Amino acid sequence: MSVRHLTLPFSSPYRFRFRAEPSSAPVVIDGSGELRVGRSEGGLGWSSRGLEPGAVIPAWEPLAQAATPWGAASLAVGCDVRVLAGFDRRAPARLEVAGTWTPAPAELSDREVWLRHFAWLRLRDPVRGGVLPATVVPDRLFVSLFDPEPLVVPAPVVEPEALLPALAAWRRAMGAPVPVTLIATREQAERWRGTDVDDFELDVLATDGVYPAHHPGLAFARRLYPYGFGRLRYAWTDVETLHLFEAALARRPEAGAVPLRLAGCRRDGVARVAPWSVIDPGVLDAPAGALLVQGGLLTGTAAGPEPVVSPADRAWTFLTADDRREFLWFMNPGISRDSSSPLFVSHYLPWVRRELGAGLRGERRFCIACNRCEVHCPAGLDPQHLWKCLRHDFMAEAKEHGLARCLECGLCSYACPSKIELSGEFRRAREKLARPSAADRGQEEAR
Amino acid sequence: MRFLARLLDRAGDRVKKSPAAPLYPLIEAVNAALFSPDETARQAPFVRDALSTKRFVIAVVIALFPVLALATWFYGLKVPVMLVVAYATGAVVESVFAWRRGEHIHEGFLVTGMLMVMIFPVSTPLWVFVIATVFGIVFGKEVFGGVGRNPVNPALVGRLFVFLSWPALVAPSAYPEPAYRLFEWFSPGADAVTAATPLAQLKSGALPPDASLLQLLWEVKPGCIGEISAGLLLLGGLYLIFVRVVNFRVPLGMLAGSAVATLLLGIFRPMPDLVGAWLTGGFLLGMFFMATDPVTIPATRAGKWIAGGLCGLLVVLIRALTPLVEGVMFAIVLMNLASPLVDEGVRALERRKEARHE
Ligand code: SF4
Ligand code: SF4
Repeated sequence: MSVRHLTLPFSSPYRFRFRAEPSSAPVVIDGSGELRVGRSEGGLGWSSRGLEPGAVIPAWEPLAQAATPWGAASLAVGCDVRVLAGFDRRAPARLEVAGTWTPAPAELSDREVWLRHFAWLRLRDPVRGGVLPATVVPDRLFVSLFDPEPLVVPAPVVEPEALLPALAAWRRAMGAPVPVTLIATREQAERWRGTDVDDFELDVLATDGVYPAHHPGLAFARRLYPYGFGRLRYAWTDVETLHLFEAALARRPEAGAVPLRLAGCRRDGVARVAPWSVIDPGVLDAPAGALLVQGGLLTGTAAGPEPVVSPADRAWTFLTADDRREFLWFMNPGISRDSSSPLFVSHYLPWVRRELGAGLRGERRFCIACNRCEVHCPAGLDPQHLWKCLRHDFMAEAKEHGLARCLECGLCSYACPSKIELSGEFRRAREKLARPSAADRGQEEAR
Repeated sequence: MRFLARLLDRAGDRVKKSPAAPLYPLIEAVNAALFSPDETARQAPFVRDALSTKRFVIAVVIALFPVLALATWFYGLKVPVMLVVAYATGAVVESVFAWRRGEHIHEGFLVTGMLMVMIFPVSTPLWVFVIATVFGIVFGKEVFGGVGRNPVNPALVGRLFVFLSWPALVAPSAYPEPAYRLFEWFSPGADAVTAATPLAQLKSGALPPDASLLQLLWEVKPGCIGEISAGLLLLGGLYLIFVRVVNFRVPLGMLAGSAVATLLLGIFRPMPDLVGAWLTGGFLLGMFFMATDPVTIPATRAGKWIAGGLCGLLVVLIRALTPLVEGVMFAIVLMNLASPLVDEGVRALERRKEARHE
């Protein structure tokens, strides 16, 4: 099956109110205006009818539908929207927010709410990479209790009492007894010891929580998880997504706004934001010349001039250039804190706090075949070989070597001492492969 | 230090605009060698490990430093001078090629230069040494496109070239005996105290009965500069394996390969002394510091075992069955040349295995 990726970008400046609380309280960003809906979600081919210009589509009415082996899935947003421009093959539709965010109506079943909601809340597949279609019931759900991406924000305290109802709601919507594994730091795992869950299987996996070992993908690579993952479908998500699912299923309105962590600007904190709103970074008092990264620092993207809040991005970080140029730095006795290499003395001192640097800290070089990328790759690939295949345009060989299995987790680029943009190259190569060739498109047209 | 960095930045900017622009890479190179760059990642991941290639290769130099110090103690001032000569020659050759290619100077020559000193006897005339360095870096590395693309170890290419051209100068039948010479300049005429190396003794019959294995490990031995102490080489090698700069698979494979070869030989003739073979000659030096050069060995894990085993096998066979006294050099170069084939084979097998599982 070829997968078509459709996008419905809605673009125009978004007006919003911005209210900054005293530093400890969360920042609040809300407002109304136009919105964008990504239609690449879930790897399904979507079709839409009745998106006539001027029509108002009520909240929770499907905007588009896709056929799946498990029935129809629909794409909906939790507020009234007005169609500005219709949808056709080349020009994606533009919609405008025409109301406020509303909870899901009571007549929708849990399963339907779930299917409509996944338009913007996603489950990731930690083994094969990419987003798991929400229509697929996974064989096991991994829930990360701390941020899977390296951020400046500390790991939250998650009480079992708060999370268990969310898990239960999710499992109701799934309609299948899916076992759950929590990925926790050691302290968090302590809290969960002795938690009694009678109606479903729940494991807690403690990891050391030190970057980058806490990365779920990396934990897979280290065989931390005692599960084989040959043919099973795993899904992976975080606590906040689960809470949003729960809020949607309980018809609570906060499901309409996603919490967003802001870091690196003057208004650091957590904001509740309407999904797909466009936000002016100037309002956040970002430092001059800062680069806005949407999503985690490992897999996020550098935002353009009009950053749009995607609910899948849990964090925005403003990165400033690190202008410390260390003198003869490579000769230092090895107390660098931002490295996972055993070459540094700090590697052996568990009490040294790990830090992360945004600087490249070295020159770009040709691959020196050091194998660090292979050691870090959670998908069990040899990124070095893959990269060399792509350099020589050996697409067939790259595919055979498992380009499709790359999780785009970025750990290979993180570890590479030659500072090669490995995961970026893989992403571009995969995009090239995913784009249907001219011949495919001709066939489709004929049909 | 920030002042120096700014000075270099500004000088670079000015030179770039002036008629002396071709000199810009030189200033840039000095700048890059002294200071880490201030570049930040522009695409995901936005965090990067602090480890850079400079630090990665400098670990090898650090691991060999004790050997160099010991050799200076016993062979005199010529040893550090050889290192300086190797670095100066390497830097010049490297700069010329980096300049032609418009790239930064790669720090790989720091390792090559160090290894170069290690694999020559101290009696080598400096001019031969310079020729070896230039040849090794140019024909071992630069003609293939620089560090990362070299099929064989550049230091060995240089050494083999002069070994085949002036065998008497670089592989004499007798080597100077190590003795306290810290402040002396080694001159072959005056210091004609030469001795047969333990390796040669091993080849011609057996080690003298008073040479226990512990002695081989801890005592200084005549031979090439880097062969002076097996103990320090062992420590350096273990350090490199511990900090994961070199892969443990190749050394272990080499030990296994040489053991297998020794057993095989034992069927036909009196069995050679296995541990003695490990501790004499360039075996440890080659095993830890040259056969492990990641660029020239297979990239696959199984391939590393195979290549290591092959190399160990060849060392013992060359030492036993050819007129050559030392076989490590040839064994490593042959193994390097076989590496792409080994990789291909391993990957093909893996693919076939996967296909069967589908
Ligand atoms: S190749 Fe790189 S980006 Fe892909 S899964 Fe492996 S480490 Fe992650
Ligand atoms: S980490 Fe970088 S330098 Fe090392 S093998 Fe991988 S691509 Fe090559």
